Amino acid sequence: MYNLKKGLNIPISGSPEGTVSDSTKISHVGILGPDYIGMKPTMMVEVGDQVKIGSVLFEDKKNPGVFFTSPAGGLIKSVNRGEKRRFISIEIEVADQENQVEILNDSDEILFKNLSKYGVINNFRTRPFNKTPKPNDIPNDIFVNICDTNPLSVDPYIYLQHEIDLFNRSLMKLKEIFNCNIHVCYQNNDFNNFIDGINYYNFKGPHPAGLSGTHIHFIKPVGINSKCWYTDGQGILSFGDFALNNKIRTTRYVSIGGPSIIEPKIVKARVGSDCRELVAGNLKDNSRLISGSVLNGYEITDSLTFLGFYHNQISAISDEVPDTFLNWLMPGSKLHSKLGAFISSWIKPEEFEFNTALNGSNRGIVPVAAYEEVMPLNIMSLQLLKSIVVKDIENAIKLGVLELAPEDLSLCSYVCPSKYDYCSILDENLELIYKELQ
Amino acid sequence: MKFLRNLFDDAKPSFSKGGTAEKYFPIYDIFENLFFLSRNKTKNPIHIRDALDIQRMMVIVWLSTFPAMFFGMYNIGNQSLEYLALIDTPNTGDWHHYLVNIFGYEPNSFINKMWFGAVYFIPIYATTFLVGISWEILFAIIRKHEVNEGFFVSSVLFALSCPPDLPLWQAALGITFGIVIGKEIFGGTGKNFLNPALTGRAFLYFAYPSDISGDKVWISGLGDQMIIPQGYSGATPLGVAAESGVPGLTDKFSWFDAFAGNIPGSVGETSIIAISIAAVILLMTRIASYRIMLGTLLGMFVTSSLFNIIGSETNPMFNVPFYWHLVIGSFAFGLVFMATEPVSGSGTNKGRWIYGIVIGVTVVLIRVVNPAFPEGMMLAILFANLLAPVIDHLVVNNNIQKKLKYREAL
Repeated sequence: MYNLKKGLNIPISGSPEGTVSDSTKISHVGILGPDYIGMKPTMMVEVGDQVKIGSVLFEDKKNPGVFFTSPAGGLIKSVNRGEKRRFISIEIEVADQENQVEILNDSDEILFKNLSKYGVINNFRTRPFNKTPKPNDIPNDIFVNICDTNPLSVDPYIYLQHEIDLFNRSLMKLKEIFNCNIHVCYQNNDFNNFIDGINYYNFKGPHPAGLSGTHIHFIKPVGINSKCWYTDGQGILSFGDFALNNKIRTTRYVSIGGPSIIEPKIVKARVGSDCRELVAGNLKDNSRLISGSVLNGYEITDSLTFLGFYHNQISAISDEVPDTFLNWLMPGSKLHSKLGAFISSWIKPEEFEFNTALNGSNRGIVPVAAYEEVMPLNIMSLQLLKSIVVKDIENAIKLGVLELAPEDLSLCSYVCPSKYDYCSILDENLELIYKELQ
Repeated sequence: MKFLRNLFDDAKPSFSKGGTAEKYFPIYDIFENLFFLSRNKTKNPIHIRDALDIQRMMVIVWLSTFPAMFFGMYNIGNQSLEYLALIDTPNTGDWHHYLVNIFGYEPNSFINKMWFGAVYFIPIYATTFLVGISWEILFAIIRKHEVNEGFFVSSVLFALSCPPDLPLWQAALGITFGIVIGKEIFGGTGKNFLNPALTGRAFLYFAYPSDISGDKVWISGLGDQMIIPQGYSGATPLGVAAESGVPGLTDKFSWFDAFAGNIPGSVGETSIIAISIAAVILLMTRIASYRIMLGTLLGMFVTSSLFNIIGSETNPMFNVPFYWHLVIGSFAFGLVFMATEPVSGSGTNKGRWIYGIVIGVTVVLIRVVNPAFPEGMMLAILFANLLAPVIDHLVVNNNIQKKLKYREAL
């Protein structure tokens, strides 16, 4: 058991609780480009084409052999591109009657090939670099994460327990195909579905105790010469449905919460749902809707409207930033801070209503104690942050940058009084290192 | 508030990109930030942010100097009016006299003491502030970024570490050196490797030693009048200790006098009570590192106790115990305000302990065995500033090696 002390559970209001309900009917689903780091699509469909569930939509130019398939049956409605024709999303209008392409995973060899052919391999990502594995990759270790400590998240075991049988059979199938170590990390005390041949670890403590990066760091750290795959409980269910039932899974459990959500809840939604449809009538005015967590997600805009492929939650916070008069002098009973500079640190309200205020402007890094206090990993956080800011990748690698995904640095960004965004900076650094290593 | 907001909103276009006064945006920004929190919003992928920003952080440090500042003003008046009453001559030597005269030279009035101190300290602080912020704005305009609030802290600490009679042109020169050489040429707050306030102070110390050290500068008027009544000395307790050790000290001052601050010295350094209030604020808000503070105390305690044990016939400083070291000179002031400056200090938790201990050891070494300088805090901290990157390098390397070994063992 790993009992972590450092970290921070951000007390944001609007946490979802209770049982899983079905979402409203979704008429549009999509696949988002930014979900897949470094992916460049070669399109195989055009706007106006009819597709089935599992029809190939595009292939990754940078990772040939990995295909992306449709999560729904219907009509290709649009392909959105941004600056320099960067792929943003592909939108599918869901038909009333949906069919799935025929899939036959007769033997393990065929199944292995089909994982890439039908895009199921995308449920797994490699660490370092957080990309989809290459089609012929065989991992030594696969980390399965059934924890979630993100703000407003729910314990994945709440919904996983309904399909625990599928989950366990999937794990065994995974072990059979890849013949590797499988590490399952859980947080729920009631979790007792242990099966032979799989390693189980209990993680306790504040965020980021539930992130895969944390688990990998403590169980089997990665580096230039050692890598692993990681996925979450829902990724295993997708894999299992495909491997055992020859089915492309089109549903995903999503928790919807935040101060701007009227009724926080957990729903079984479609993969790639239009987030605005999912929260229709459940969202307060002037809010920012976010796919993913408030610490690592993207704002839902007109071009980015869909639920992220790896996201288990939708969050919403107020987008109204009130004018704060003489902020430096105010006691700040409603402002959350890790250090003790506001009265709120002493009266300790249980929950805060966060909004999208940056609460300051960009300054040079001043080393405050907070960086170390939110970093449970054995990593020199301040030095790492400084070296990625100046893109000193050699030093950053020594300090352990390859063990990280942007989400692992989101708390460092949250507490940063100089308002840096270390997550995006980390992304740039990892991309740079990846290119250097090719 | 509404009126102010409208005023800023009206002025903003001319200072923004494409406006007529685009270059002077940092000036507009200072004033806007003074009244209103910036309206910046979060961007992908982090949508909420901690409420603490550099401005709030620096203002808390700035506010925490107020007890020491006000006591300092009172103490200037207290020490000087007593002296001037003793020689029965008002300090007519310079322009301060006209201002002091508004309330008079009556040495037993609290208001007179405060006023006297304010007349001497506020011009120093105002000069420091105006000259310093001009440099900051100049650099901000050239570099096209915003003015960093760290300057509020540097300026007040610099002013508080000066003697009350410091000529204003020296204050201007000192803070110029501190801001430009100590900070801005390296990129501004966050990139400086020396404490800017101390860099300026050290510049004055070596450039104009007669105005900032010795027995005559700590009581204003003493330097001008040069009348020294029998048995009177303007020396600081540290100076006295260097001359005649603990017996000399206890002869002139009680320990409690030194603790409360009723002794000659730099403006802000004398009262340990006032400095302790700041220490409590800084530790409770966790803006200052307790590791550095405890490390420094530990280093000082061990080294001074070691000297006590060794003892010396010829050097009376050997026998000064740790509780005197704590209350004399600028030890406490440097410990709470200067050593804890996070940017020039060590940036690792282990390193912060070592960094603190280095300061504590060095300050006692300089005080006791160095014949040239009676006070060691300023030099000890600057020395530790220089050493901090080395300490961090060792700590970080140690961490990297340990991790490598752990990985190999796996």
